[in-house]
Amino acid sequence: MNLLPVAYRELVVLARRPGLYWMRFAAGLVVALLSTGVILTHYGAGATPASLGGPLFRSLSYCAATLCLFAGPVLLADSLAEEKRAGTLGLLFLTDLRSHDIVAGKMTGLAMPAVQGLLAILPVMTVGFFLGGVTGGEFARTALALLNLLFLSLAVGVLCSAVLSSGRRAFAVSLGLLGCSGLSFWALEQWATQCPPWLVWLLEVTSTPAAAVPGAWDGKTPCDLPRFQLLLAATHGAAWLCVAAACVVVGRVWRDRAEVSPWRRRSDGVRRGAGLRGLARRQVGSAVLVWLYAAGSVWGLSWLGGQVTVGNVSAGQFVVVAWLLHGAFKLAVGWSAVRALGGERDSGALEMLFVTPVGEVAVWQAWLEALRWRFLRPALLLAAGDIFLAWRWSLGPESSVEESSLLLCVFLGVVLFLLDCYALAWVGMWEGLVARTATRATVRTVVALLVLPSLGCLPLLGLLGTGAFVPLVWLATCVWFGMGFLADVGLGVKTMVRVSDDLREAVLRRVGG
Amino acid sequence: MTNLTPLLKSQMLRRSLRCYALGWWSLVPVLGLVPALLAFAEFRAVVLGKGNKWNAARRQLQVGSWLAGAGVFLTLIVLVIGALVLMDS
Repeated sequence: MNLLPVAYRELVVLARRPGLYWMRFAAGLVVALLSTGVILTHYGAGATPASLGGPLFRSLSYCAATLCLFAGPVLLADSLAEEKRAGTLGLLFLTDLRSHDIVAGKMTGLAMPAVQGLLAILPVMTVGFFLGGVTGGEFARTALALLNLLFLSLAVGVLCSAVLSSGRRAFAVSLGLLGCSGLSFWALEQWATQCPPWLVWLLEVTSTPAAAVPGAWDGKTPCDLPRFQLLLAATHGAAWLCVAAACVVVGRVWRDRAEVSPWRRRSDGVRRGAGLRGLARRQVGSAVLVWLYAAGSVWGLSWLGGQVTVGNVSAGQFVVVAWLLHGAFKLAVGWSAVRALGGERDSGALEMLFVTPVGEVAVWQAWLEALRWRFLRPALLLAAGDIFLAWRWSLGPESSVEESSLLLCVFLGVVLFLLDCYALAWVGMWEGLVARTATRATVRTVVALLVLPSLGCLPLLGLLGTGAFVPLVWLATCVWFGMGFLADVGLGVKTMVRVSDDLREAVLRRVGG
Repeated sequence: MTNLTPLLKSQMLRRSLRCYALGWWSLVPVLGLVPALLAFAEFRAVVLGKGNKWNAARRQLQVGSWLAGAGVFLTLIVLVIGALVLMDS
């Protein structure tokens, strides 16, 4: 095996990026903030160090598991796909490198930020151990499960990168595959008793990687070691299978593909209009799927609301499902916005458009209009569905003061949802233009507009919640809305000014760089 | 959204400065909501209608919109506190 040349090259490139050091610092900072929030939330008159240690350790473990799940798609989804697009993968095969050397080299080199991030998080997790309520074995097993999960995430990332030639698609597919595991675990926890046996079995199989982390903990009973070992072995085996598949695939998929058929191109042109507007709509993608998603979400939430009324589903589960559905919609908006001008920049079409009499203003306005055509009405449908559901709920026979105030909370959530979508469209478009890769642009957009405001809520909520003079749902909604609103307006305004003033300079800087 | 009439340079500068002034007015709690909405409208009109022209009042435009956002946030805090006091009583 001769993985050293590729790994060495990737490590040298990585070491020259200041982002690596900032990422390490950010990982430590995020878990420190989260720890503060958890401690402040659980702190009360009857709190003891041992009663704080357990919740702190479990919260940080979930946070670390989420970061491990995201690591593979973020770091490796564009690794082999980029080489394929640039045509350099075939050149690598002209040397004495074999496909497993390339895959292993890429994984070793590019996995370093994730490994370092996990190493920054683990010491903070030991705080729970020193406070009490967590045993040494529990900590060691969790650390092992996290490393194993990280390996699987990286393996899935490299496999998707080997199979797909578009970095964005590889990112989406790998994120979807790994996200399925987390969602299956959550669904199993919530509805295991109500599902048919075949569905429970399916959920257990798909949730295996995510289930290994909580499987390492001692609950009321000690950890079930044989089950934990089985989960660990299954995850590890799946990771090696993915690596092996990537090695097999990468030697076969680097060749050029046939062009899209002229018939399909013509039908696309007729359906979405000609000219710049038609081109933008074609690049942004179909609106049908978004409409179906929005309508399906409204129907699903309406059905779930009925189940809450009957008592089959708790209100908390309903809120989590609604949050996930809206979050996925927002991710789709950010994703499409990043693709909007980023794809044109990568193909070199943007510079060509800028030298025509069309000009840059018409270009960004056409792409913005295409995003609006795809997402605005489905977003309004989703928002209207939310308001209608909350209104119907607040008028129900068992209506109380809390349920009446629910309408106001939902209204604030809907306003923030629409504001988030608008800001994501602008910020995503700009980041797609200036960031090095589409994956990085998506991560930056989503972290700045969705993740950081939510994380910022935690310490503030902990500080305000200790006074306990305000109902917690109200407080959480208002703090969350405030942070999200400030992030949307602050970043949205800055980006709108940048897009309207500096677009040409940004594109030329990229071409020059 | 994209079919706004292009602005003359003088209009662009005047509207940018108007956005700045309205941004300051929007810091008045509750009553500032109207100037805040007007500031956002001016901001949008300038961004979408300026075309290729260089905007010398770009910073005022940006700060005016940020102030309008801060004003809306301030109003929201006042309204929430008011609602909580009402609920408590």
